[in-house]
Formats: sequence, C-alpha cells, structure tokens
Amino acid sequence: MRIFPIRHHSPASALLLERSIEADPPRRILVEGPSDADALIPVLLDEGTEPPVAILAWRPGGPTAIYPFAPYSPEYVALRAAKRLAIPARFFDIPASTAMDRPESETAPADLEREICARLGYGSYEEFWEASFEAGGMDAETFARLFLDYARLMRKEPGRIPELDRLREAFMAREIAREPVDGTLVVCGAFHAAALADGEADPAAAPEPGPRAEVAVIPYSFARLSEQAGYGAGNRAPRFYQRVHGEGGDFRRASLATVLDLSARLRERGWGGGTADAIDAYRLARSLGAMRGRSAPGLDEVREAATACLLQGNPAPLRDLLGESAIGRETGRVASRLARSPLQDEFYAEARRFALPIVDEPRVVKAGREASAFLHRLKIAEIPYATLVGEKWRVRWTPATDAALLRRIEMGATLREVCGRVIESRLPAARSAGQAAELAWDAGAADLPDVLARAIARCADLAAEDRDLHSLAVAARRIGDDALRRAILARALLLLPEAARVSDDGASAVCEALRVLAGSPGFDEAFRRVLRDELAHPRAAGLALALLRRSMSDDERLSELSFRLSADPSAARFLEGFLSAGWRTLIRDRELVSLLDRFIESMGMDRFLKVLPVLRRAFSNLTPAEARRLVERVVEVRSGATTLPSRKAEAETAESLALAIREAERTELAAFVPLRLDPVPVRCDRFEDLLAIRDRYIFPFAVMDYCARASVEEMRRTRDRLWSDSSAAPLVVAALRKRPDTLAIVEDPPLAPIAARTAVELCRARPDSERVLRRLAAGPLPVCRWAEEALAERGSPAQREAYRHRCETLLREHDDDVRSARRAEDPRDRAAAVARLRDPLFVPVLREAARDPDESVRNEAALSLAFAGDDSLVEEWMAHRRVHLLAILGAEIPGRMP
Amino acid sequence: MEAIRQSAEERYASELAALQADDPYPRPPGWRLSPRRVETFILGSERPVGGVAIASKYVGDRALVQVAIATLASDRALLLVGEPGTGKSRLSEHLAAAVSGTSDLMIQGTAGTTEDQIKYSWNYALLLAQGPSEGAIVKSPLYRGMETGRLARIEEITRILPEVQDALISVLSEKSVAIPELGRALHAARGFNVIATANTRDRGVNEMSTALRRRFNFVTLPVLRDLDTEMEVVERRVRELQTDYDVRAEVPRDVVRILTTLFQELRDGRTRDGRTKVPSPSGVLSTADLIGVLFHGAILAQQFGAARVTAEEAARSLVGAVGKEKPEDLRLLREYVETVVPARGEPEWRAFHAAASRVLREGT
Repeated sequence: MRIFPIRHHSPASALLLERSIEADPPRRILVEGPSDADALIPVLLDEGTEPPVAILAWRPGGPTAIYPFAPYSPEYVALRAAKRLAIPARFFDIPASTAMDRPESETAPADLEREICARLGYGSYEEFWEASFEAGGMDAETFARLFLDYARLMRKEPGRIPELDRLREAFMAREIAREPVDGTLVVCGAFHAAALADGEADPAAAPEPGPRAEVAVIPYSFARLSEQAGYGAGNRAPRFYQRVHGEGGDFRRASLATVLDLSARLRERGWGGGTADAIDAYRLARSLGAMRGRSAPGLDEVREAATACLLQGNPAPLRDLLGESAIGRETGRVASRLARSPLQDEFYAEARRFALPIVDEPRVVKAGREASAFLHRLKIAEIPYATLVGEKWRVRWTPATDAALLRRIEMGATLREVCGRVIESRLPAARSAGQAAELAWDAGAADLPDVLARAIARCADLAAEDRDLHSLAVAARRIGDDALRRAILARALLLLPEAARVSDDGASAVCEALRVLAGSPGFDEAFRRVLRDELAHPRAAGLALALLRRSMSDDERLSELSFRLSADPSAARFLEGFLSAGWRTLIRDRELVSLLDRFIESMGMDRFLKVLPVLRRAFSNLTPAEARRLVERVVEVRSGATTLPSRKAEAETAESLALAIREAERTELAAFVPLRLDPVPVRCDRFEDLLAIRDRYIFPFAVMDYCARASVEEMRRTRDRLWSDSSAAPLVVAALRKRPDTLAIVEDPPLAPIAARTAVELCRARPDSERVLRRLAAGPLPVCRWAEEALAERGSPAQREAYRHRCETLLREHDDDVRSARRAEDPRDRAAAVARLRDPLFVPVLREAARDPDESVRNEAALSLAFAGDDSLVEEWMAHRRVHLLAILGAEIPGRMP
Repeated sequence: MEAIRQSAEERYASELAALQADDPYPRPPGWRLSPRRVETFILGSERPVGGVAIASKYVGDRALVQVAIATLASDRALLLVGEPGTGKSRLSEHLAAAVSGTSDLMIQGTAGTTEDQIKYSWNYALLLAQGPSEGAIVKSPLYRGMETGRLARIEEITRILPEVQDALISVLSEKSVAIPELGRALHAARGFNVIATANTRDRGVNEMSTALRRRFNFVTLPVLRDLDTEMEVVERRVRELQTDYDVRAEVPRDVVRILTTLFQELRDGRTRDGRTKVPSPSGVLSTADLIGVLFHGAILAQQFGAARVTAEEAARSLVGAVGKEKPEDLRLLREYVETVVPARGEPEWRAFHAAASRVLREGT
C-alpha cells in the first residue's frame, strides 16, 4: 500500500500526485471523499462536467454537507488520472450521512504551527506553506516524505486531534482493510495519512452509518471556493492557483502572468505603467520572495510589488482587480443529462427564457411582469438568487441556489407548487392583519391567484379584531383589495389617538403608521387629536403636525410649532418628529420651509441655543444636494420668487453659487446648513464672485477657471488682491503658467508686494520672463529681492555667487541692527532697529521681534514684516489696530481678501 | 561635545554591530547587512541577536517594510509616502543606518532646493584659483552616496520644484552624474540608492513628473487607526524627545490615552464606539501633532508645573496647537469638549473636561 499525503486544493499536491500515479500506476486508488457518493464519480468525471463543482449531501429537512472540487484539487486529479489509466477508484472517507450529523468542531489551537512560523520568520502559516511545500520545487517522493513527517509532528501536539478525525481515520482504515488489494494508492489529507501510515487508526472504532442522505453534484464557483474557511492553500485565490497548476507548479511563471494581467487591467482603467513597469514589479516580487526564503514569488509578493511599482503605493485599485485576476469568476458546470431535479430544470429553463444571468457575482436586472413573478416565487421558496432593490432586482447565482433547489423538491415538483405550500402553511400561523397582508402581497407578487384569495379572506377576518396600529398600517399598505383597505384604514384611524400614547420604544412604529395613514379620508381629525394630546408621544405629535400640511392654516401650524417647542422636555423629540417627515417632503413644501424659517427667526438667542443641538443633528442628515435645495428654498420663500438657476444648468457658475451663499448667510439657516457642494467644474467670470466663495472648497475650481478666462485688463484690475491671497496664489501660478499673455499682466509694475511675490513665482516658471524679472528687480523692497533671487537662480554661477555675496553684505551691514533688535535694553532702541530691518533676509529676526514683550516693538515688527513680504502677522494686527496700520501702510500693503 | 540628538547609527550602534556579526544571509553588494537582518533591525526581534536585544523601530505592517527593503536592493528608488507622523523620516533614517551604516547623507527638500544641492556645486575660491578641478567640487550628499555606494536620503521631495526634481531622473536611471566641467562622469558604486519621503499634506506626488515617478517604488505608510498602536508609537517618540532635550516631566498613560482618543475621534469624525458624530476640524491632526502636543505639555509641566503632565498642561498645549492654524477649529474643539467629553464618567476624563473648558473659556 502506498499513501500519498495531500493538502486540499493545493496545486503542488495535485501535480506531484499525478506524476506519482503516472510514473508507477497503482492497481486501485482510494480517494478522500464521502463513500456514499461513489455513484457520483462518473458524474464528476463526465465530459460535460467542468469543475469547480461540489458534492452536496442532504437529508430532507435536515442537515447538509458539501465537498467542493477545483480543477486542481488533488482528489479530483487523482480520480481523473484513474479514469485515464483505467484504474478502479472510489471514495473511502466516512459517508456524508455520518459526517453531517457530527458538525466539525473548531480546529484545535495550532500553537505549534505558530511557533514554527515565528521561528522560521514567516508571518503566517500560508506563507510558510507556500514557501516550504507549494513552491518548494521538490519531487513527488521527497514531498510525500517531508509532508508526512510534518503531519506526524503536528499530531504530536496535545489536544490536536478532534474526535471526528479519529472516527474518520478509523473508518478509512477499515475501508482499506475491507478488501485488501496489492498496489493500492491511498490519497488523503496529510494529517490522516500520517495516522494511516503509522497504524494509529483503529478500524474497530469506525462509526455506524447514519440514515441515508441524498447526494448530488452541483455547480460551484471560484468565488465560493475562495470563501471556504479552514482549508487554506488554493482556496484564497483559485484562479491564481489554477494558473500555477497550468504552469506545471511554476510559481514564477504564474506570478509573472498575474503581474502582466494586472498591469493590462490597470492600464485599461487609466493607471499608467507599461510592460517595463510590470517587469520591474515582477522583479520586486522576486526579491521580496527571496527575502522571505521562497524559491519563487507568490500571490502576496505580487500584490505588494504591484502596489509599490504600478500604483504609487495605493492598494485600493487592486482590491477589485486582484479579485478578478486571482480569484476569478469562473462557475462550474454539471453534465446536464445526469442528475438534475425537476426544480433545477425549471430554474434553468426559466432563467434562460428571461435571459437572467447565471454568474456568481451581483448583477442588477429589470424584470417584466412574468419574470418578476418567477423571481418572487424563488424568494418565497427561499431559494437564494434574487433580492428586490427598489424596483429592480439584484440577482446572483451561487452554489447555494442549486443546493436549495435540490432540497425544496420535497415541497413540490414545480416552483408554483412549492410557493403555494409555503404560503398556505404560513396562513394559519398569521396572528395579525399585517402578517396576513404580507402573505397576500407575496401571493399577488408571485402570481398565485387561489392562494391570494385565501390570504385576503384571512386578512379580513383578522383585521376586524386587530387592535395593533402597526399591524393595521402594514395591512393597509400591503393589501391590494380596495374595500378591505378602506375598512382597515378607518379602523386604524379610530385606534390612532389611543395608540399614539407610547413610550420611546413604540414611537417608531406609530410614526410609520402615521405616514401610511396621512391623506386617507378623515385623517386630519385623528392627527389633530394626536397633536393636541399631551400624552401622545412627542415625536408622533411632531410628525403629525408636519403631515397635516394644508389641512391646517399656516398661522395655526406656526403657533402649534412654537407652542410645542416651548415645552422643554419634549421639544427636541417633537422637532425630531417634525423634521422626520422627510427632507424631500420638507424641501418640496414651500409652506413647511417658510414655517421653519419663520420659527427659527422668531426665537430669541437663548431658545435658539437650546434648540440648536437638535437642529444640528437633524440638518446633518442632509446630503449636499439637499442642503443646496433647502437653501434655495429658503431664498425662494423669502424673496417670493425663484432667484436661482435650476439644477439643469450645465456647469455651476460661481455667480449663482455666490448668490446662493450670500443669501444663505443672510438667513439663520446658514449657521447649520453645511454647504458642502459637489466638486463640479465651476465657471467664474467675475472677481467679486470669487470673494463671496472664498471659504468654500469650490474656491480653487473657481480661481482656476477665472484665471484661465479673464482678460488681461480684468486680471490687471484684480491681480493685487487676488494674487496677495495666500490660498489663491499657488492656484494662480498653476493656472497662468501656460497662458501665453501672462507676462502682459505682470509687465506693468508696481504691484502690491505680496502680489509681486506671486508674480516672481510665475516668472520662475517661464523661461521668457527675464525682462519682467529685471523690471521687478528694479522696484522697491521686498519685490526686488525676490526678483534678484529668481534672476540669480537662472544666471551663471558667477551671478549666483554675486547675489549670495550681496545678501551677505546686507546681512553684515545690518549686523548691529540685528543685535539691538534682539538685545537692546530700551524698547525704543529695539523698535528703531526693527524698523531698519525691512528686508526679506531678516524675516527670522522680525518673527522673533513680533513676540517682543513691548508693544511698540511688536507693532514695528509687524510693519517691517509686511514690508519684507511676510504677511502672516498683518491679519492679526489688522484686527486689533486696523486704523493705525492701514493709515501707515496706505496702498503699500493690500487688504487681504475678506 | 555631546550632540542634542544622536543619529540612528549612533543610537543603535550595538544593535547594528550584533546584527552584522550574526548575519548568515547573503548581502546585496555594498550593503552592511542582509535584507533579512535589515528587517530584523527595523521591526525588532523577540529574541536577542548575539546577546543584544533588538528594539522595534517601526510599528506597523511587516509587508510594507519588506517591500521597502526589497526595493532598495532593486533598480528603483524608494519613495515613502504618508501623512505627518506616520514615521516616514524615521523609517528612512533607520533603513539608511542599517543598509549603509550612515543616515547622514540627507538632502532636505524645500522650494528653494536647487539642482546644485542635489548634484554638486563649486568652491568658488578654488574654482577661481585653480579652474575646474576635483578639489573644487562641493559634493552633495547624493554625490557622496554614489561615490561610496551608500544610501542617500531626500526628505520632503515633493517640496522641491518639479523642474529641479527632474534632475534626479538621470541619477536614478543611469546611476551616474555627468560633470562636464571636468569632462568625466561619476558612476555610482554598487549599494547606492535613494530613499525619498513625501508628505501627503504637501503638494502631491501627482505633481512629480511621470518619468520621475516611474523611477520610484511607492510605499504608503498608513495612519495609525488602532488606539493601542498609536499610543505605543506616541509614547515612545515622546520618551525619545524627552531624553534628547532633557525634559524629565512624567507623561502619565492616562493623559496619553485621553489625547490619543481625542485625536482619533476628531480625525474620524465619530466617537470610537461609533455612536456619536464628532465635528472634524480641517486643521492638522496627525500623529506628529499629537507627539508635539504631549511633548509641549511635558515642557510646560517641567517649567511651570509639578513635573508631571496633568489635564491642565494637556489642555493648554492642545488648545495652543489646535488654535494655531484656524480659529474655527477651536470652536469645533470646544464643541467636542462640551458634548462628547462630559458623557465619559472616568475621573481622568472629568479632570480633562474641567481643565479644557477652563482653558477654552480663557481663550488661551
């Protein structure tokens, strides 16, 4: 007897096993797999079957067990080789019927494995496995021997062998011994192989088979395979390991193929990187592999190298791509002429008829009436395939779909029958009108008229005595029968005032009911009673007020709102209920907006501050678009007309945004409506609009657009103010760098000092700006210094040296001033010295002086700093001594933009 | 004279010597240690090597560090990208110390960095006296790295003007610098490579030219999201700063925990339990800022307090740091202190609340 230890889903195991079988064909092969599924081996090996597939075992209404096979699973490869070489082969593990009653316990703690990994320097067991066995480059014999030894070591760890494993090993030993054949090859997991090889298993302890189970082969998918926990190896990236298998176990080639595939996919999505980059990435993967002691790089190395080489360190784009590239979307196929149940036949036929996708990834489809009924039936029959999202269906085939189809056969031979049974069996259990109505709705959706009629009758019976508001509201929403619906609504309204007296726990249900009931005949009377009832839950009362809308006069509503919000303990919850009417409703309803606006305006500061947290919380739920709409609404309500362009306008104009923001700022709403607008391309023609949106984050877009389009005259008019703005300046430089007529804007000094700094930056970026720079260099401080510096930068080494020399001279000349600015005893001396240091070279000294204990020195420092072009302190000083500074500075220092 | 701050190779001289003595793995040409030993140096080792305990110098993803090291042995240069406080510069320094035995070959990138500073410039006195000669060359750190086959570092590469950055392209692709004045070129000795760092808050890496970007492998160092990890990093850095600057005030764990929690919550815009929305300031809230706040708190405590950082110093230093960029952020901080903090009943949080609201009221 020969024993070949394998790891499940390991391509190396599969390849070496296949080689071993071919080199020395055995006379019989026993494969780890449920022995009661032997009859399915021909199905597995049929030409029409393509892995991944799985053997599913189940007992009607009972437990299940599943055994997946990938194309590179050693068990599958062994069976295939056996067929090719005409060697008898069968499964010899405990029957699925026995295994399914003994759920696998959690794998025992693998301290030993952790210890081995840590000692050898591997981060995880997977890494260790891949480096040592998978990509170890061994021959079959060495692999089998080492792996078996490794498994023996593992088994020695106390508490390592679960009870189920002992039973399985006993069963396997008995199967081997049952009809001994010379030249038997045993293929099973290394852990068990060690027990069998060493005679540790006791055939007498084999368990008795459980009650018979149904078995079938179902299609499986790589996506599911990658989710199967507890096996490792090939599971986490089936497609990658299939590549490895296809390349004869060569990880290098598989990794290279994956890197190339990835880089091609990345290029499609606009991430640069040609083949040369891909090669660099592959090289990095190899050296990473070498660092980790591997003979070839694996999936982890590919992922990390691609992130560093192709994606500039940003792993996000890989998440999807690596899924496609390494996990794969392949779904398996089972030979259709064999082993299909009538429900499976119906499912596949209908799916084909309605062109529904059979792939293991989510797809969204629209379904017509018939297709929709089919999908509803699947849902009712609890066959996992489709979920309703809004008006569309999200569908995804998974192996569980086929598994459920197989299991449902006990309920009927057609979906119609199964659904009818499911609903009928639930009807007697329905205890409220709501529950019955849900069932009726299901029956209607699944197009089952007889069942529908019975469900409606049941609902009517229950509604007559139902005292639960929530259940009645659900029934009213769900039931299609008009007469019954009216009756239910009337009953619900009758119960409402009483039902609204609930604690916080019940409030949500009442609010839900209010929404259903709003607008039904006679609702306003009942709603008013809720509103006036002091015992009613405040959230319900608030919502009732909002939903009453036109059934109440504006004044009446305003006074209600005002009154309720003055009642301290319940005000917050009342407002919450009021606002929960939904922003869409609120925004659409001019009167409500107006009411809210007037209410906020009418509050005194104390009240306002108290209500503020509630308002803030409520308003923070707005999306940016809703916030904008709300502000528009407020503006509209106040001005009595639509003043803003509709959303249909192609690009936002800075003008309209500025208008919106200016208007919004006039209303108190702006205090807590966050104007987070979408970062759209913005058109901006007028400088004044820029001023208005200075603090909004669309500002950069507007500046760029403005600079790209404004005429030379316009730019000249505004350059001093715009270019002096620290947040705009870099944008200006970026936007103007490429404009042919830029220099014309700069050509005509004098510029305000800080704007001039932007001008110099601009000139730096353009080789043709020498003339302009020279002119700037002839101007006053500090402009001349920056310009000189820029000129020196592009000049000859001698010119640069000359500039450096000039700076040094200046520093030397003012040596005394620097000293007295720092140390002179008399503040007047310090101030005088500071006043003489108006050059960019002295900015560090001036900064120090700006922290001088004496105020006159600090003043002087701010002034000198301003002259030196450092405006960081100007703002602060302007705030305190606006008049003084402005008077001194005159036109020299531009006012910063508001 | 004792330096204020020791370089990595000085600080860890004994670790490096021990690793070098016990290094069975192959070394790339020009390297002092094998890649595996470099990894041990950076990540630390549970077991002493050659009798010397190897401290962990970077907390975080092992794979990232491995990618960084493998890159240095490859044709491409390494660019470490991350927010302030993610440890880019320290990782760069430690890598250089381990691979080349020196972390001194460093160019600090600024808007004023010139091509001269990257390649070489001239000693003008000698240049005038002798004409172009070997003696008159003033070698940049990069030049010296090429000459001696060691790693050169460029800090904050994205602050350098793109045109100047591009001077690196030929260095990185040809591994040589032409010196036309002398009619020769400098060819890099094996072992030379470049580690650059870039701050995501600065002008982005996207402004680097494509040609230059392709010479780099990018390793993004993540922001620390885990409370304990961030605390560990912060505590260690603050301790180091304290040793360097001889600030002895004790920084209690409670205070570190409070401030780290606060930074993480403000950064994420929600409380750690995920239940409460928190206003998120626009200003900087990096780990580096947190380290700065705690260190500043320690100085305050040393100079004016009881040599132990209390809620008082923590609050003062925090308010100073948050308010320095945008007064608006102070308002958000106040909101956080008044809404989120009072809900926490632990005595240290109560103390912090009292101190912070007082400091905020005073408007320090």
